[in-house]
Amino acid sequence: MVKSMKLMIDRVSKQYQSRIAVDRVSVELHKGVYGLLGANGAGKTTLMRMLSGILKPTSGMIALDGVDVSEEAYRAALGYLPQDFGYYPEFHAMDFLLYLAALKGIPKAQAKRRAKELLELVSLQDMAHKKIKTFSGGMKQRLGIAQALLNDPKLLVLDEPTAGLDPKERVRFRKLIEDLGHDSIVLLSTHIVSDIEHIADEVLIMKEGQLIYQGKWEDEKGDLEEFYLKQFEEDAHE
Amino acid sequence: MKQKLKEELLHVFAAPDPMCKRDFLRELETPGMSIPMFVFSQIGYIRKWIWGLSILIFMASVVGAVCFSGEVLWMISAMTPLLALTVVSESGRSDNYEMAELELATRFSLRSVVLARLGILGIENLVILSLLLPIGVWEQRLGILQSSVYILAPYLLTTFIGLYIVRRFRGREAVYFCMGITAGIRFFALLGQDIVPQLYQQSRFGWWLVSALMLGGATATQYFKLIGATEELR
Amino acid sequence: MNNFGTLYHYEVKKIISRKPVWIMFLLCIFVIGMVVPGNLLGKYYVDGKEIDTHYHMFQVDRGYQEALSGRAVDQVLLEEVMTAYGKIPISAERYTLTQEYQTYARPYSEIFNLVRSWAQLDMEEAMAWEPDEEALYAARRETVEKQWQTLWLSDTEKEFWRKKEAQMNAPVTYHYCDGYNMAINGIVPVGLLVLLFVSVCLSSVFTEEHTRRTDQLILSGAKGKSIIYWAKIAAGVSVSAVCALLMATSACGFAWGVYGAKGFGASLRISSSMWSYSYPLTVGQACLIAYGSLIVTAVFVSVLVLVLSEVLHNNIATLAVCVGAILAGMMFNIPIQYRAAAQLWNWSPVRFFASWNVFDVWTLPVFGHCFVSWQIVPAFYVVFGIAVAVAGKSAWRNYQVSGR
Repeated sequence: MVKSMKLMIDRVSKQYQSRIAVDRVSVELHKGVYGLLGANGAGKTTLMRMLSGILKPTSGMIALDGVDVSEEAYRAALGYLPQDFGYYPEFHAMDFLLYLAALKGIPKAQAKRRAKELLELVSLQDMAHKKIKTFSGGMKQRLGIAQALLNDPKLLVLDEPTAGLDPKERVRFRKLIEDLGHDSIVLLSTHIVSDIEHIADEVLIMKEGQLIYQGKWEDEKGDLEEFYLKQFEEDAHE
Repeated sequence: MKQKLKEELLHVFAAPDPMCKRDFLRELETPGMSIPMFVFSQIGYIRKWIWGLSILIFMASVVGAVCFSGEVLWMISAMTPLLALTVVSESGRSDNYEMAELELATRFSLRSVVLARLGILGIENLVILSLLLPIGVWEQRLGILQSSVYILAPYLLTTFIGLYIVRRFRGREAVYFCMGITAGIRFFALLGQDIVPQLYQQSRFGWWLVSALMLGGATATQYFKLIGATEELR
Repeated sequence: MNNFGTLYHYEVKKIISRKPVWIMFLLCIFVIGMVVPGNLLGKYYVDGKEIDTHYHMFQVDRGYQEALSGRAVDQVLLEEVMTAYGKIPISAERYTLTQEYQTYARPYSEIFNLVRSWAQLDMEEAMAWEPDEEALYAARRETVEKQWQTLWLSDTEKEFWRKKEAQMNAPVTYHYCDGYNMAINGIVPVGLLVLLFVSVCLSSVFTEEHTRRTDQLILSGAKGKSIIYWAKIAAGVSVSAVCALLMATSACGFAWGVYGAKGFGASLRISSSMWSYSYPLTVGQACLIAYGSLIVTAVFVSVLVLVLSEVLHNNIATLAVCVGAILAGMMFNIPIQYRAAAQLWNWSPVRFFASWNVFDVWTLPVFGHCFVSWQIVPAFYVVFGIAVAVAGKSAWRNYQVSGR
């Protein structure tokens, strides 16, 4: 019997002094791909950081299959790709993955196998022993995607994962995410609406810290981008 | 009444929409910024802590002269590397904050910015050093030349090494290591005459003078190399 | 599986792969190489006239001292010394320039200086001193007792030191041991360099993760809030311990290479700078204790630097605080009348590595037993270091990635 996965986000808020970045967001996510859309400053990255356990919510609860976000077991099941992340210039690609695998609690032998697999998956197998400082922006992004998949996560949080990827790589990435969505909860945020249209089972739209839309997006509903822009045009007319 | 009339007139005789406004404006000669104006404008962009530190160094030297008059030369000698650090940290600022690419693509490009800021700080340091020299010489049995060399040598050594490090290892880490080197030079300047008194013998002064001159030349070389490195994105 | 070993390996790699760390280390070794034998540079002048080089003077004196090695500082030797010094004309203004001094007295100058120190005699008094072995050792005890008085020692402490004095046999045997003396005397610049190296190289271990924006990846990992913290601390501590050991070894190596490594077993009482220390140690043991204390101090400072850098989230501010503390340690003294404060200050890591603080006579009486500084302070450093590391973990664990 396959155990169903559930990510519970219950009235999660994040407040910075006088500004509310995330305002009482409640949502339950199950296996599948969820696209998170929103304007700049809508609170997507803040929400994703809270889901990754690197930012504490001001209030509310986040739990994956009953395990609270603050626990190590939660992070053991998490794969996170930040919007803007750094690297150690003197590390090779393999070093970087092995280091992060150790951080994720993966034994060394298993980590080596997994790192090799993932480098092939993201077409970086020839760059395994080259220093990251020699990588292009797209290669670094692919390496970031690889590290997010090291521990075969139950929850995959991807913040702008296709930034810096060329169209061919983006298509490959979409296929990968689609496959992952069969067995994991995948939450990805992006400004490229077409990415979400093609692969997301459900769309979440954030505006000014609040979740204003959640639901499946089918072709019958029309163009997602038009719908998305309409949410913000309504503001302009008010 | 007058106001109402004005408003009515504006309403009745509405000005037509402008045509070819942008072309017309482009034809006009707009006064550009001259080089001295540009250099002067850079003063405001030099960080406040640099000015604050220079004032602090000067005041500390004055206090030192009053309270520790016998040691004031070595105290000043240990503080001049901090002045050099201000120059070094400004020289690496564009790389630290990843502004180099933007600054290279402007009329007064990165080269001009760096030249202007280093020039301003160079003059400021010269003024501070000139003010510190009489304080350092006061109540010392060493002459002006010898005292000047003992004050300048750590300053030049710090500038030389700092500019080399900033040019060779870019980013925040470079300035951070310059701080470490500066601290080491300061310790040596403060304790050198106790640890290795032979280096401060009169007979050794010739070496000090030659070293100071060589460091001056090496520092100038590093300045030119640094300016040369600002001509394109690294 | 906690993967501590793998994480530790990568953390060490991150530290030692930075070129500036190597440059700093090599610079420190270079400066140590210049400073430790620095006394031998240059020439000796009298009234502007070159008399000799320091190195040649050292070679001559070394020959004389080695000739005295193995001899007991007893009545026979003291009589020889005073007979030799008795030949120097009383009227001589600078006695060291006289032929009589160079021929007869100079070979015994080490013992003569020892007599002057032990009995606190000025030159005139020393020249007129009657050789008396018992009186000399009694004079030393008296000098030492007076020092205890000026240093505000308690009665318990005085009793402790008297017992230690009683354990030392008399007469003491003289041995040439300049290699160890110079190594100990050179510990202040070496210590400053070690602390500077630790401050510069370790204050970006934690802050680097925030400036490079790798903290998001680390903190979101299963081990990213717990094991990695200890891996970083362990890496920082090991690098500083190894580098401190290498610098200490270099300092001793340079000293022994120039001055020789003879005299490990010589009593500390014949040391020119530590003759009044009453603990029955040899010069070699004192050298090992001094540098061992330096290494423990370096390790403690490394923990402080690491934790401070994570609390401040700024490597430049951390470095500024460390350099400021080191400078304060060099420049400021607390008068001995305020004994508790002065003792705490002298035992702080920015001052403890100086030999006069490692071997000071202030102790810590605990349940009637007096612990000397080189016994108790390193123990404190280990305990406080662990406490600070434990306390600092919350700063790393609770770091909030925001504002980007």
